[in-house]
Amino acid sequence: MKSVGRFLLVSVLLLMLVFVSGCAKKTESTSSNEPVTIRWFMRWDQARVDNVAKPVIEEYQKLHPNVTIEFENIGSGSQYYTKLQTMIAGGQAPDVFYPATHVAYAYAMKGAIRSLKDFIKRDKIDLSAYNPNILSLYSMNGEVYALPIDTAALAVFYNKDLFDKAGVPYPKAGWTWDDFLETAKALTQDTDGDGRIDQFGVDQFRNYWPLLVWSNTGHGLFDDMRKPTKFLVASDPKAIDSIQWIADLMLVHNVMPTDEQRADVSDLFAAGKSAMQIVGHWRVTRYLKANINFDLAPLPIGDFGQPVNRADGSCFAISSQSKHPDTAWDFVKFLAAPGAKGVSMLLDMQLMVPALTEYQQDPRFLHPEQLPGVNKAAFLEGKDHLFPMYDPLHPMYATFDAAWKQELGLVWIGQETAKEAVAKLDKTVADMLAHLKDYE
Amino acid sequence: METAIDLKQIQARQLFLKLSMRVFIYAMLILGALFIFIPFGWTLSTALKTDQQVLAYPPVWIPSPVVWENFVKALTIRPFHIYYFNTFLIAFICVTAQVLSSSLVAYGFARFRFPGRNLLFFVLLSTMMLPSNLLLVPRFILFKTLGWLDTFLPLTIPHFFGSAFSIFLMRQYLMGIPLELDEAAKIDGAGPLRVYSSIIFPLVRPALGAIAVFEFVSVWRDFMGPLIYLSSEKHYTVSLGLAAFKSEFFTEWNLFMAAAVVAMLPPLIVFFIAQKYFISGASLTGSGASKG
Repeated sequence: MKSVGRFLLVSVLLLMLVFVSGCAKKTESTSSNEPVTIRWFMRWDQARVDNVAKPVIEEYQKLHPNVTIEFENIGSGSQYYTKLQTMIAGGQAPDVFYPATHVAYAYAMKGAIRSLKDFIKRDKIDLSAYNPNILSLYSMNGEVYALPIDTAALAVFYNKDLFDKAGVPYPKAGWTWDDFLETAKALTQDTDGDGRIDQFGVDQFRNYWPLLVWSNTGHGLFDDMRKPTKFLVASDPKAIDSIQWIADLMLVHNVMPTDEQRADVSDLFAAGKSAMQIVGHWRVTRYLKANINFDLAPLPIGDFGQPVNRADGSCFAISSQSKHPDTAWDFVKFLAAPGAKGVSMLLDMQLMVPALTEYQQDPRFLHPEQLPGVNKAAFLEGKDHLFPMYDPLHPMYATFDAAWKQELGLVWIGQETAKEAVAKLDKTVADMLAHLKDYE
Repeated sequence: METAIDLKQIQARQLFLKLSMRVFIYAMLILGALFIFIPFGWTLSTALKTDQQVLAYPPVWIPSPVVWENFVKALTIRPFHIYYFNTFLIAFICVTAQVLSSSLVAYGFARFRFPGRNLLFFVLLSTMMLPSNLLLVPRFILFKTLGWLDTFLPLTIPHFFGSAFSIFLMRQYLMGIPLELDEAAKIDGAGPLRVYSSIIFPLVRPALGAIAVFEFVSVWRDFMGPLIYLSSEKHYTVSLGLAAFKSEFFTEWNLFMAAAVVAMLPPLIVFFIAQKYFISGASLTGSGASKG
């Protein structure tokens, strides 16, 4: 969401159109031999397009000769949403699309996504196959409106070669953020003795600061992510300390590079210049390509005392404009319902953490051939305490996101303490909360 | 005698000053040129790297080994020949349409007095002030209603109506062309269209060249238009093909840069070809091209 303005503008238009069209839900003739065309709009990389999307379509069309799946793919997220919003506002929405968690919720609120309640009831879909913490992100007023496919769960990637060279023991499950800091210190080195650090303990992960908040407090950033009324970060000293702790990784201990030290390198871990990296499953392929000998450790544990992790991800949704909701649903089922073909194919790609519990235990996810001995289960830690990184889930997120980036930006460069910045942020956020309706 | 020697010395000194000044200026220009070439150099260097070297830190300037195959791979991994054909087709139609319509409309604004002329011109200019994002959805709905989605029509037809910027540019240029030329033709019995085709059109070539270049480059670079209106891959343009190298999980930087280097060539070539027009335009006599 690069331009908040455009997002808001299109949202307003979207809202108007949804009202104008009066959510005309056309029922489909249920004869299953009439030719039907479904438009499927995705934002995948070429590898997933070639190895998952195309075979899935082929297979589905073989099983349903009367159905044609028209596939369209835009790789980059921001462009994807620009086009998706234009299509929805222009009454040309694709039948099945792939929004991220917070976008799905905003669309559901605005009536652009069809509730799946009746379908789930009719087809007796076993919702217990999903982690309830994940599924709840795709539910509104008790109705499920999208089927989640993956989560952006985080873990600590660590470079085994660099650990061995420094004689530092590998991280163990149950380690704390203090252990993490000590490990990072031991691995931050000036290898050529020119007074400049050449190898950092950990690459930048400061945009994941909410992770430290969850880890130390056990709560999210707001009291209610759907109807936020209170900005909990400002009232909880532990949350403020968490932000300062991340800034201190750069400013005090310098185990994490500052912007100058990083000099815009896209990925220090892939370059073998940082020993650890806190990031999600999607980086696995990059590190394999870069020949990094890595393993995974679960996220360290904070003052909350329980492992936490990230819940948001992507899902498949059906447009409320769809003229063939039954067929669209049938296809979504094929992609992401329990036991679905689509997710099963994705497992082989080593790109994601599945949202379905059965697939989380699948050996193809846990012990893939490409990653012998790598602790993939690290991504599954914290499943009882999952939080969305897009907090609040409410459409005001885009404005909040821009606000914290601006305020905390000063903390990261040491111009303000976390306490000062959060106090200022609190004022801005209070104003947003007071006008919450404007964002809806 | 002495004075002659003095004179020679003075001349020599002047020559030396002149030369050293020139050397200094050239040195500065070369420095500036190098500075401007850094991003392009980086693009080219990345285009020739292996996957491992792309992410190397500290950054590597000279790729080793040099992977020329990246260019082949980048242009064959997707049907780029189709994208190039599409983009050239769209650009050709747009440039032709823009050059004809803008010069014709500007001719009307510059040479004819009619009621509401200034108001019309003002309305035309005000269309420039509207942010294009505001028009995105209404235009989309318009073209959807016409049934033009996933065709080249939404990307080409609007150009037949000229654009405020090029019409404004042409009109300013036309103001500098002496009215006597039109009048001489009129006395010889030429009608308005004849004046336009025989007198005006040949004289405004430099401005047309400029408009053609702007138009070509903007169509070549256009991303939003193709993104919104085209959906089947057989209609994709080069900018969409380039964007396809970037995805959320990873970007194949080396292939992306290789494709980008090739995509830069057409606008560059067009610019060099059109440069001749600019220069020949400057040497035109009798037209106050420097005015306006």
